[in-house]
Amino acid sequence: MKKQKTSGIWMILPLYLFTIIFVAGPLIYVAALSFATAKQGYGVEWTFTLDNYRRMLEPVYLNTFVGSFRLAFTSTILICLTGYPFGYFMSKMSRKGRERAMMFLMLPFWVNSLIRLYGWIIILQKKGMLNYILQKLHLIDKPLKILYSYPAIVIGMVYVLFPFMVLSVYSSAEKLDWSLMEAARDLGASGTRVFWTIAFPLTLPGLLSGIILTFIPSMGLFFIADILGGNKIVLVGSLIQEQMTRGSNWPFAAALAVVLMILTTAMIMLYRKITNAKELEGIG
Amino acid sequence: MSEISLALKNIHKSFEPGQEVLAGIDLTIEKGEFITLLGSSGCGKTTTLRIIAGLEVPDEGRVYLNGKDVTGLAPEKRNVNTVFQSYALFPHMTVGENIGYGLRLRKVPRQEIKERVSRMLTLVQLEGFEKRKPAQLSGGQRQRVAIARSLINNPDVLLLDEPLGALDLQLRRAMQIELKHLQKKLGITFIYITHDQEEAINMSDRIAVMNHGLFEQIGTPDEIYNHPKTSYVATFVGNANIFRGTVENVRNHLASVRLDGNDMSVLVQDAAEGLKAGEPVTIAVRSENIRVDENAGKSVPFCESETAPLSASVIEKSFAGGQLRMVLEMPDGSRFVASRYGIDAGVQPGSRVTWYFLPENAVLVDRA
Repeated sequence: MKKQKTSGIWMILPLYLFTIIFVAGPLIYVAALSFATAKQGYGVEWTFTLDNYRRMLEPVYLNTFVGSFRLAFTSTILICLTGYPFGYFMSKMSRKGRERAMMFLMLPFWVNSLIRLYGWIIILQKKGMLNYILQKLHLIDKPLKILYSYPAIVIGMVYVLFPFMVLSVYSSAEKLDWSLMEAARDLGASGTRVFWTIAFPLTLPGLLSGIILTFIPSMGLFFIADILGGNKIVLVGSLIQEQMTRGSNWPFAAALAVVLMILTTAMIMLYRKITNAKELEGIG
Repeated sequence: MSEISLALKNIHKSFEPGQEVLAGIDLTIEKGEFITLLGSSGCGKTTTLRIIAGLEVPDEGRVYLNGKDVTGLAPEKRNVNTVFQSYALFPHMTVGENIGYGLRLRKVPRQEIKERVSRMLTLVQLEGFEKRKPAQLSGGQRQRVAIARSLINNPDVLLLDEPLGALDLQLRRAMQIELKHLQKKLGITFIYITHDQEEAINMSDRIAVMNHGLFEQIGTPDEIYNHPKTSYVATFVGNANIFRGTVENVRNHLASVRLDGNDMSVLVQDAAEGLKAGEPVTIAVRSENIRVDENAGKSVPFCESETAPLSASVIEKSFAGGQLRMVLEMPDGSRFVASRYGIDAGVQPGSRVTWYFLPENAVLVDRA
């Protein structure tokens, strides 16, 4: 028995080491860095300061945070509205249909995401495919200026994060026991009532994890904003990246990262609390 | 006479072309009747139930509920409820919410729902379980919740798809009695599915034995057990042995039948008057009606003197449910089963025995 216990520790050790080296370590380093002072030019001076945090209260940076949240919200809502039905109906398909849908979903992953985003430039630009089609259909007179605008970033976000929502919803919808739907119909529920009282509450965990899987990255996917937003719209992610590289102000970048992390964690915890409370009341 | 609750007329259903699950069934059920569809898996009993519930649409034929044609009506529009084999309780709702689900859909006032749910909980003896989730219940408790959830809607017909299948034997016996009491008390038509002949015999007013998408026989438990019409019913319900033979002669209300492949004759009383010499017949005799005598070659009663004594060799014996079960083999190699109460040391595998049955215990089956 004792021998087994010790060997168990040895088995799990690599996992601990991995977590300490690649997760906890960097996090502690970033947190420490956020209280350090930036050297003129390049490098870090290890003198304690709260300046990095104080600096964030400047309107420019506050607006960046607000803008980032707004973008993440908009993207996440759009991803929910499109990804949930996709994942839900995918689970209802035949085996063949499911395999095909899964392939279409995974196919883009075979191409580098940056290249795919450049593809969007071709579609969205002034003389691009979208404007061409819309004009041919006489839906618009003048080409729309979508590229390098807010909607372009949202489109990019939805495009990149959509599969995560679909897969997350699909995995919980797939586990749905169809006899429950039949039982609900048998007890007098119409198709829509069955969905809202049975299918939706039971796939809610999938939707929730989908939201978490899309909301957090959409706060930080700076390259989408850079490529499709033409660097005109600055998001927290872009700001951190800029401070790390061009600004070479690592401590400020670290402070931004810490605040972003705290905010997203708080959001998730709040969200969890709300949905859990709902479930307890049996409304959800 | 009494009113008709449900009628099936010439129902056909196939899921794959050329493979009929239901090959034209007719069934009329009276109000307040407890009827059991009995058959082995794949005989079409669950499909029949799903068609009554509206979860499947028949390819052909009509379904009438209280005289009204409901064939194309959606399940939520029929006043029929089902207790599913898997219970299908909603895991995200409490017991109370599960039971009250049907009433909430009908927009029954909150206070009334509460009262009716607690009345149902009393009926199925689950007081105080209202706030629990299905996952916190035992199999038997879940089963009661499923029944309560269906009964609260006051259905015209309650369909039960092997509801006791997942329970252990003791609980099953107790629930059989409870269900039967409940049905009598409420006067609701029950259509019950099972593959367990004991369950069917214990609970039903009538049993419909199904095989290959057709009813082999519909009748009271007594009719089904004592007067099976087909060899399938005789073997499935009564665990009977089937003997094939040819009528030699009919004398004194008894027909003498020569068994195919063996130089032996037996006497049969059932419908003997209508038999003619040379007619091929199939006889069913339940295992407990076959008597076995340890002394081989002994002449036995009711055997015509000109026939050789009925002999067989014992292949194996086993003891189950208070009964000694013997597998016997006739000279031509065909086997049958005899059983009797108690352990009998006199019979050993490999020994030769004499066997017989009383003419009144043989039933003629598979008659055109």
